[in-house]
Amino acid sequence: MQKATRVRIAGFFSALLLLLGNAVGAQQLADRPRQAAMRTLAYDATRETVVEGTVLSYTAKSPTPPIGAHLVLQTAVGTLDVHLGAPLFLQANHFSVAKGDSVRVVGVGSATRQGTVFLVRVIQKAGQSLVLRTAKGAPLSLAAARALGAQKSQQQEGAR
Amino acid sequence: MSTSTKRWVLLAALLLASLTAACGNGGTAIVGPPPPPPTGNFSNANLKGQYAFLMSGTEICSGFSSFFTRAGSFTADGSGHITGGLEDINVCAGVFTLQFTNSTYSITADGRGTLSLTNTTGTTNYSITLSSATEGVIAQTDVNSTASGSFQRQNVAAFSDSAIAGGYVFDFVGISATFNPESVVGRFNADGGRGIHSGLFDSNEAGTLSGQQLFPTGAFYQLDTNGDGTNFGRGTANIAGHNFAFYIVDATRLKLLGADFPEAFSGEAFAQQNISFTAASLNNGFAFLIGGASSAGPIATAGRFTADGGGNLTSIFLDENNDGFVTLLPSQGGTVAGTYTVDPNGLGGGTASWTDTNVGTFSFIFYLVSPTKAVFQETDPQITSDGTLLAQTAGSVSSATLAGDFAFVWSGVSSDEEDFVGQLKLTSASGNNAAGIMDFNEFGAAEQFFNIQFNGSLTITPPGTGPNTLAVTTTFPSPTMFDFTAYAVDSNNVFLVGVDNNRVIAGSVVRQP
Repeated sequence: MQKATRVRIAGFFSALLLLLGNAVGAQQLADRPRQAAMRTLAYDATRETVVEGTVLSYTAKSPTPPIGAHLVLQTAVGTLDVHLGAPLFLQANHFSVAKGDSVRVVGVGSATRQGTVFLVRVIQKAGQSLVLRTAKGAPLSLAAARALGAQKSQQQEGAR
Repeated sequence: MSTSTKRWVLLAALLLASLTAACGNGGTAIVGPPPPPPTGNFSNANLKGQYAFLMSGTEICSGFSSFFTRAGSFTADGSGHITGGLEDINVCAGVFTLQFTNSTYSITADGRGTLSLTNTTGTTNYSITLSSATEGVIAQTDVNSTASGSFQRQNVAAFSDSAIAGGYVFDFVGISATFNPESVVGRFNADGGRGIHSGLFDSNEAGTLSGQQLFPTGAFYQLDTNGDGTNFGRGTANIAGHNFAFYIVDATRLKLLGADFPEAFSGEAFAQQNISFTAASLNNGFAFLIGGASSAGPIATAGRFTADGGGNLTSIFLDENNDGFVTLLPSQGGTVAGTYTVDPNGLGGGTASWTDTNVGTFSFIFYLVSPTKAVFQETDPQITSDGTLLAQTAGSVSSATLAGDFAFVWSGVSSDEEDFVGQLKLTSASGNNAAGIMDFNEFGAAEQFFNIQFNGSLTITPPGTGPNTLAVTTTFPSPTMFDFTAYAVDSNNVFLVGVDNNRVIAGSVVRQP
C-alpha cells in the first residue's frame, strides 16, 4: 500500500473514531433541574401592575440601590419608590421627570431588604411613553440602539 | 459614593485645574499627580509579536449607550510600533472588519502602558497592563467608547484549520436578537478539518433557560483563505447556531466575536481535556467569578466551594452584588449546603446548586475544561450571569504569599459603564499593604482618568481561600473608596467582586513576574 494511501486511510479511521467516540445524540442530552425559586429583586412579569400617581421627587443617581434613576411616587395608597434605571437612557429618549408630574408606570413591585421598589417596564407622562425593559423584564438601556439599528442605519459617534 | 478626607486633597484640587484637559471630542481627560517613577523590568521590548485581543463595552450611538464588542489581532515590533493587525467589531451600526495602520504603543517599567490602534474610521485608544510578555489586560479610554478585556500572544504555528482539533469548551455572552442579555455555554469537538461535531450548549436568555441542547445543523469553523487566516489567525465559525469571527491565540484558545446583528456575542473557547468527566472529576476547592445582568440591572458574583468528588459541596461562600444590593453567603445565622452533578455522557457538562437557609437557592451550569477549570453560568430566575470556575490552591494563601506586583482589570457599572486597568502592589504587612495606580474610563460622565493612585489594605482571613477583603481609596481627583471581597485562586490569581452599593464592579488580579 502506498504511504500516502495508508496515511489517508489512517486519518479517515482516526476521524471516524473521534466522531464515534464523542458523538452525542438527542437521547444523551443531560437533564437539567427545574429552575430554582425566584429570589428577591427580580422582575416577575406575571405580576405586572399599573400604578398612577404624582412625582414627589426625582433623582438621576440615587444614593440607594438599585443603581440609577429613581422617583418617589405619591399614589392613592401611599408613596412608592420607583426605579427607572439608567438615567442616560431617559436623557437619550428626551424623557424627563420632575416633581409634580403625573405619571403612569407599568412594572413589578419587588421586595428588598430596604423595602419594596417598583421596577418599571413602561413609563407614561403627558402622552409620552417610554419602554424601559424588554418583555422578559431585562433593562433595555444597552440594547435600545441595536433595536433601532435593526430598523435603520445608526449614527455611531467617534472612531470604532 | 463613600468618601473620606485625605490630607493632600487640597493639593490634588490645585493640581486638578492644571492637569484637567478638555478632550477635543467633548470628553474630559483627568490626569493624576505625577506618580513615582515606575519600577520593574518591563519595557516596549516586552510587547513583541502578534497578540489576539477580546473586549466588550459600551459605545455612544445616536445619543444612546449601546453594548458593543471587539476582537482582533495586532502585531507589536518591540519598539513602540504596531506594524499591522485586524479587528472585527459588532457595534450598533453593524458588524465590520477593519485593518490597523500606523499604530503605536508604549510600555513603562511597571508593565503599564498605552496602545493606539488606527483604522479607516480613526484611532481608538487603550490603557494596558502586561502581566507578562505573553499577555495583559486592556481598557479602552475613548470618550465615545469604553471597554475592557485581555490579550495574549498568538502562536502563529497554530494558524491552520488542522490545529483546531479535539474538544473545546466555550462561554459566549452578550445581547440576544430580542435584545435580552444572554449567556451561552457549552462544548464541541473540532475535527481538524473545518467540521464541528458533538456540540452541546445551555443558553440563558434573561433567565429563560434552554436546557441542554444539541447544536443546530450548520456548525463549522474555517480559517480565512484570503490571507487573514495565515496573517492574523482569523477565521469564521458557526457554533451553537450563532455565527462568529474568531482569532486563534493558540491551539488551546480561541477568541470569538459574534458576527450576527442585531445580536452581539463574544467569548472564548478553550481546549477541553480529553477524558470522560464524572463527579469524581470535581474534587477540590474552587473559586468562581461571574457577571452579567439581572432584571434589576448589573450583577456580579464571586465565591468559592469545596467539591468532594461525590456530588457534595461544602464550605460555600458567596458575595453577590445585584445592582447595589449585596448578598453574602452564608447569611447571618444561616447555613449553606449544596450538591453538584456531572452529566452522564462524560462530556463535562454539569450542574451545581446550594441553598442558604435564609436567602434561598443559587443554581448553576458548568462545562469542565479540565478537572481544574470550567465555564460557569448562573441559572436562577431573572439572572443572566457567567464566568469562570478555577480550582484553588491546596495550600493556604496569606499576605506573605501574595506579596508582589499584579496586573488588574475591573469592569462594572456605577451610573453607566466604567472600566479600570492598572497595577496593584501588595506587601506582606498586615495592614496598609495595598497600593497601586490605574487608568479608568467613566463612560457616563464622559471622563477618562489616567495615573490615578490608590492605597488601602488587603485583609486575609486564614487559610486565605475563603472571602477576604480589599479596601482601597483613590487619592485624586477626589477620595473614592472601592470595597471588594477577594477570593484567591492561588497566590498568583485573585478574583474580586465589589461590595459597595453605589456600583457593581468585578475583576481579577494576576501576578506580574
